[in-house]
Amino acid sequence: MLELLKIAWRNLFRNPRRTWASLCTVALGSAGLLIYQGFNTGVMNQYRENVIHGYYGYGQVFPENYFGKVHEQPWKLWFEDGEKIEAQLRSSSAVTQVFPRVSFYAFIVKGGITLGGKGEGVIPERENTFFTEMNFIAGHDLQHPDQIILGKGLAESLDAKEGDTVTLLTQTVNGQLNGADLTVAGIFYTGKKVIDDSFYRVDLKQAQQLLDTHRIEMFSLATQGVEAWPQVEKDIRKANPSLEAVPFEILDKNYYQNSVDFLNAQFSFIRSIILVIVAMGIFNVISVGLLERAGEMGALRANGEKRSRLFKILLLENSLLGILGGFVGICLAVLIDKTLLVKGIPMPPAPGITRQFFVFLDIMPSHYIQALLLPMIATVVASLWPTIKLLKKSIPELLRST
Amino acid sequence: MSALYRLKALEYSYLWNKQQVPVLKGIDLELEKGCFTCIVGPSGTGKTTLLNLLGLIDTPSNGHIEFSGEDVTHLKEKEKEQVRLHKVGFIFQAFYLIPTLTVLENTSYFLPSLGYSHAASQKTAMETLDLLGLADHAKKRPLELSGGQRQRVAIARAIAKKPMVVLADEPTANLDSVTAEMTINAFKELQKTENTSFIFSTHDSHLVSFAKSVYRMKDGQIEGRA
Repeated sequence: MLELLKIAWRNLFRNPRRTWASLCTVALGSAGLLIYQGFNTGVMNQYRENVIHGYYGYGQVFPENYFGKVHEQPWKLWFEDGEKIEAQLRSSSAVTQVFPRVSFYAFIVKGGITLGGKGEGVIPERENTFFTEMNFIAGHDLQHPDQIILGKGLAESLDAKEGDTVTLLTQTVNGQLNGADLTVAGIFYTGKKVIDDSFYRVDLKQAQQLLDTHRIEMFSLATQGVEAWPQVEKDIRKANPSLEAVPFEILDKNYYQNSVDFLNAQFSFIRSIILVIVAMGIFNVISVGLLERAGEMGALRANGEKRSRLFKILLLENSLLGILGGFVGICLAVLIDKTLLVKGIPMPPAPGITRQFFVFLDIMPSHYIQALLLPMIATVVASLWPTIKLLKKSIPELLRST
Repeated sequence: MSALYRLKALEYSYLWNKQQVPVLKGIDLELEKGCFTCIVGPSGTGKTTLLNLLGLIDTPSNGHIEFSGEDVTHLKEKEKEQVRLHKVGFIFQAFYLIPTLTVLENTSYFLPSLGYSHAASQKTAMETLDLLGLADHAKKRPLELSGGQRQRVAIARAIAKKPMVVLADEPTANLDSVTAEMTINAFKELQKTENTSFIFSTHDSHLVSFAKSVYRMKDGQIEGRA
């Protein structure tokens, strides 16, 4: 085998110009694959970070049969003993922070303007260390129970600025009208229009007071990372089987999971095109190169060389070419990443998002393996037909071919 | 002396425009072991086809070929490969060396397939190159050599595996007279030392003059023995 590998390696230098042309074709394909996949993962990561650190956390924990269903009086299902549930959630070593929340609808009044919106009661000192993608364009996060933060669109509609006072009017869980005057502490801009146009946040205690309840609707969780979620889910089920833990990609299926599925499908299609281009680009070069060697093959076979051994040599030769091209392509892609793309790629707003963002290539170890192996496979596949066609010829035909 | 080849009513034809074109028309021939034989005749009389059939790289349309006492007419391709590897050495006018391998590597190319260890194949190849006066060029690539030297490397590759017969198609056609003389001397030396049989197709009268037996071909038949 080593002997065959040596012959195959040397054959790469038989016609340097032709080998160089093939190498460039494979390398460009490989670099294209790697950059595109890195870009794709970068976009997905950007999406994921927005989703996790903008609103959902790594996942949320709901009362049994609560998530995804419509309830006439949802607060009746909320957690009665929030502290006990929180302790159960913290029993998982993979959970790093717990964010209790309640959500409620209210009218927001400023001057002569009254708008409806969906708000949330949160513990700001916990939330503002983790939810860093709120992007305050004015003011800051909640620092006092008498404060409120507004989405950019909502603030614009209300003509509210930092320091202004707005009145929140809502119904308690008993159906009585309740209200509070709150100061606008900040205006945030998540980029998701549906949130920015109607969303607001107040202190958890303030929200509970407005709703006249001490219950907690659900808990957002910070964990040790995306990979830790299965363990978190397992621990939570063990601590309290009635809790329903939902990961962020399910919570935001419309935005995150659909985007990921869309990008993956798009990448699969473009990957196929790149590989077909590599295979077609290299097919002609390999065919011509093999044809020039027909006489040599004939002479070797006339002296007793086996067809199978020649096939192995040619297969190894093209595999080496593919691997070498893949390696050069990887180096090229890394070079581009570290120089031209070091400041990221400015992207227009993605579907459902209103602000621009920068994508940084995120090249994973598995991407390197793909960028090495897929162009190699394309090279070998492209070489199979001319190789088999050549080796199927009789020896006199081979000798006459040159 | 026992027969190396026995050809009986050997015919060969190929299909051209839906018609069979006869190339060899019933050849009966017996060649001895250790022979130094030339097949001569004008172009297109079937010399190369006859060599191809003797070397088992083509199959006759009719008739029989007996090689070293065995009927090899209808061997399977894998069996033919084995016979060619162990018993036949082929030399071509265009040399067909592997340009990316050194002279030594070209010469030892088939030896690992014959079961030689790396060291043994290197030793045998060096001895063969020495015999042909090429030991000093062992590490060179074929493209660094003259035409005559390349032809001798092709001979070295064919004879390093110590075949029973060396078949050569116009081996001196591309060589100048001095190089051709050297090549013929190498053939003679090998025939004497290794008792290797040599069968040539040639137009070279100088090569013919050294042959023990010469067969003249005309229109796909052996016209006579000179």
